[in-house]
Amino acid sequence: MMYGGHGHASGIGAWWDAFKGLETNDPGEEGLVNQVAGFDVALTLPFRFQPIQAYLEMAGEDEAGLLGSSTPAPSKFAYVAGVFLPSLFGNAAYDLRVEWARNHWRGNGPAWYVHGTSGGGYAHFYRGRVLGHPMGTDAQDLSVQGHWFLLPSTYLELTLARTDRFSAGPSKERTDRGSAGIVGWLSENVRAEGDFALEKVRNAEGLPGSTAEDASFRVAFSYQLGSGK
Amino acid sequence: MKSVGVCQAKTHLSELLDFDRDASYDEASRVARCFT
Repeated sequence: MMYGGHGHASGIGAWWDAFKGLETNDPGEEGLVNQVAGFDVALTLPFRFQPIQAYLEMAGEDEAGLLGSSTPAPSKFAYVAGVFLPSLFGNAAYDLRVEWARNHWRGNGPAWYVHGTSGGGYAHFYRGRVLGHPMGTDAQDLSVQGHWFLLPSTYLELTLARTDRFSAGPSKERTDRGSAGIVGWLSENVRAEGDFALEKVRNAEGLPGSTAEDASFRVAFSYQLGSGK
Repeated sequence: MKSVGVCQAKTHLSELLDFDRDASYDEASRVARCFT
């Protein structure tokens, strides 16, 4: 639940109004609120040879009557579901994750990371970046990511991802991305990261027939104060 | 400090599931990954 902020009512009374969700979402009202309701569940199967963790998180960004009734219930759901193999075939130097995410809802257009009545104030955006899944609004993402730990602190990372954006333009935009990276420590205080990515976009910005290709690399260093012990 | 090729302790599943890939050097190094 997001409420308060500059120009909006805050405090316990406004919190109670927001919690009730009544008379709080019309433009001009002080008690604007954005509510999201959902849950997550994870199932770990600790098989000795191949442990598996499956997980699901889902939440509704809007409200509608449950099964056509007048009972209010979350709607316009977004999902994140995945399978994580924390070791591969008994070898903890490797892991693998397959994850699927979707906040596209029956052609209704953007529902997540937008909030018109607050002028975007409760839209989970900060300085142009989404505070949520990087795929953004009205999208679907499928990714496969693996790690190879050369040392407990040092690893290689490979990622393949396909992202569909349904409201980028008249057509569905599809982005295929592959990246490889390494994280390691130059000393016990200096961490170094580097990665290289290739990206191919079809129907870029939702324009039919428009394509784009991109290659990028990133190098980062960070210094950790103290020993961390 | 652990070294490649030495399995110093059993790797616990919970450590792998909870592992933070942005962990500090010391925190990451506490997770035994049995390199054989």
